[in-house]
Amino acid sequence: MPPPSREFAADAAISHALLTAALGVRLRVATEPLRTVRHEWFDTFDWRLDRAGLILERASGPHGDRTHLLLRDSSGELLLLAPAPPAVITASGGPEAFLLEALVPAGPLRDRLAGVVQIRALLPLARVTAQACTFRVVDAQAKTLARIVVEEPTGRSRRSLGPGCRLRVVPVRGYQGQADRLVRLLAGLPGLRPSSGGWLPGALEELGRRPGDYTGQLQLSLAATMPASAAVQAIMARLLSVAERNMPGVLADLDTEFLHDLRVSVRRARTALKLMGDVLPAGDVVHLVGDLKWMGDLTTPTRDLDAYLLAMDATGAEGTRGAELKPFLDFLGVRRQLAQRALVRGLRSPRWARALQRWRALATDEPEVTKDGAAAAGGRPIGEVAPPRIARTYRRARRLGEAITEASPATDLHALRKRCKELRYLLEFFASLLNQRPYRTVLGQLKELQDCLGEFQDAQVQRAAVSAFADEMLAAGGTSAATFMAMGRAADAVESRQGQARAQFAERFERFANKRTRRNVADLTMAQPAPQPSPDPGRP
Amino acid sequence: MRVLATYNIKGGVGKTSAAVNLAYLAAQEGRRTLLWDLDPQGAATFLFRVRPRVRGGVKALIRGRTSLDALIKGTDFDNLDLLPADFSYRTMDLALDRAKRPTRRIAQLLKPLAAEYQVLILDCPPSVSLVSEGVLRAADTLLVPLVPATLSLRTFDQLTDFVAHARRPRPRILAFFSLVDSRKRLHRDTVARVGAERSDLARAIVPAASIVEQMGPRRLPVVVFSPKSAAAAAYRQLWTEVRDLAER
Repeated sequence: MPPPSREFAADAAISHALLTAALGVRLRVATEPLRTVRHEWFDTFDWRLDRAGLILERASGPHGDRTHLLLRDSSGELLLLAPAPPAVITASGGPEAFLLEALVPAGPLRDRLAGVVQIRALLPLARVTAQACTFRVVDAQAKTLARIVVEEPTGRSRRSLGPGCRLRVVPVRGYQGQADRLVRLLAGLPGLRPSSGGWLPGALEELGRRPGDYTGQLQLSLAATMPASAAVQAIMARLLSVAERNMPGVLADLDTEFLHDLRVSVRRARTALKLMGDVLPAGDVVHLVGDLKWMGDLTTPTRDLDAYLLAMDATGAEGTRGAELKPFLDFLGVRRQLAQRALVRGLRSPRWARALQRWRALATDEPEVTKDGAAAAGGRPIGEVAPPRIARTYRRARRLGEAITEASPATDLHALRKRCKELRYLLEFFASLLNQRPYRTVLGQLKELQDCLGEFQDAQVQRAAVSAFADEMLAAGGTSAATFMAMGRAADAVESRQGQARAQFAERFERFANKRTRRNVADLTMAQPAPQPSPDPGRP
Repeated sequence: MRVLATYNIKGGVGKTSAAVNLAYLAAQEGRRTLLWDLDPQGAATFLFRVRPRVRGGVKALIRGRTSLDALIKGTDFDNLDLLPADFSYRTMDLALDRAKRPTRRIAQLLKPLAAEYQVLILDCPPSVSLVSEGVLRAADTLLVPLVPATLSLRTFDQLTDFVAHARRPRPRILAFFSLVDSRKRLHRDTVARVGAERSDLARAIVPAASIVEQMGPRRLPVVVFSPKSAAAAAYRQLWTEVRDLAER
């Protein structure tokens, strides 16, 4: 049996005097002075905390003292608590996004959050202001044994959430019996009903939001009998939605993942049109393919610089080495600012708006009947059209990989990487049509190979970039020898990573191309009796 | 989990005051902190208004029949819990003596708490005994309050020697001057001289102040009810030094 709720709600304000009187019959109660509490909840744009079953709140501590950051589990149980820093530095200069390091002081709470939040900014989800009163149940020594916190929303929060109140029993460790007793007492009071989740669900609902209302994953559920043209349109519509949801974050430069997700959407859309576009009218596709290439190219300089800066973080630019590398990081920072400005200009340009318009039209308009055969192909069920294309893309990737030897140039590995991305996207588009067991196995092998190829190619680009940046800094003058040496060491570290990735390639490719994976690919494309929708397990 | 122990062979030198204030300061920084009052007198337990009683007494505790986790009491402060004292702790030596590997027993008992607490402070009774040896094996840092008087310094030398010859793992020692009366020339001179001679001394100097004695009647850490006092400032500085040393 689940434990009884420690939270109660009432539709009207509750009289503190009556509550004290009701409790005071059996308990020794001390009442704390009334205070104003501001609750503010945070999560990343893609709800990473929610998905990990965590709730991060900035509010007064459970004892009603100064402002704290409280980490709770999804049942509202307090896991960690830390004092909130008095002032926070925003991620973007604006008030709406916070770097983890700025919002949460060093310590166990930040350590716990870091693995979940990673490089994403924390955004405020909702705010509630309430008047709070704490009732302490004490013993003869005035030791607190349990607390009841009563909160009534005030001001704007009262107008949006209504006039009710919430009561929360806060147990004190080692005195659980007292908290249980309070819960029983409150459950017997008229006008109170068990509740959960505090103010957050209501506050989110008021804002028209719900937990998990954004994900970069495709989450497409296509039926095998669906016409191919409608299936591709559904894919394009979903990708457009992800791209558009990320644009404000890119414009405000809240964190690097907004741009990453936007780029992935654009790239996925290009792949969809390249490999499946023949089921749609050729004229529309040709125009949009051009648009998507331009959109991708526009976002590349900023993303490349993000990747360099993140790679420098990963190589641990700290201490003395950090000081020596600082001029280089500053150089990259300035470059990134310039690239971001150009990106913002591009995103606000009429050309970008026209491209989105064309994308939307292709995803939503009824395809026109043309003479180019698209109508015929588009009318075939997607369950027939997609599987052979997946198999073909796999075969092409395998052939490319089989031709790679120890002496092959980096460009050959890059070509394979691009083909692997296409295969990955196809698998993810049509996941709901595929046999799930071989799907997961093939995807697992593919991801391992992609990780290796990605590491190799990123290192290749970064090495070349460090060298080019060094030339520019040398030409500009004013950079110390120590900085160039530190850059050299950073390039060496990148080269070492690249060497490791190259050494792993043969083994990973063998797993991707062996007989067992080939059999799994064949099983993937077998007709399925009842296709099950599948969650998109990740992204490249 | 960092294990700190306030320890001295002598009594009445400010061990409990330091333990209580440092525990509060650690907890206020967001660290989950547990204070174990090992002294049967139960002064720290009294200051946090907790009943000095451990179910089953020390025998059940040392034999592992009662889990430490079940004995922990929340204090009135965020992040700060207490493992209360019990008068039966006066026989902890005997209980340890009957246990296997008696000097490792305290460390073994503490192990399961590492998942929950980042800081554990042991407030030790004033003695040299099996309990002290167990504490030496369990603690990362031994915090030694030092009254600036000849006999007290002699005792500190004895303690340093005792730790140096104890079995590994041995804690590092951080001593700090306590109950310092700046009106007394002997105290002033001793602080200056010993401070220049020794490297295991904290810069923080806890004064002999009536405000520290007020902790008794108020039953609160001095950093709570008199945060601007010199004593509170000394404890804050001491905590900073202890934390930096522990994290080094």
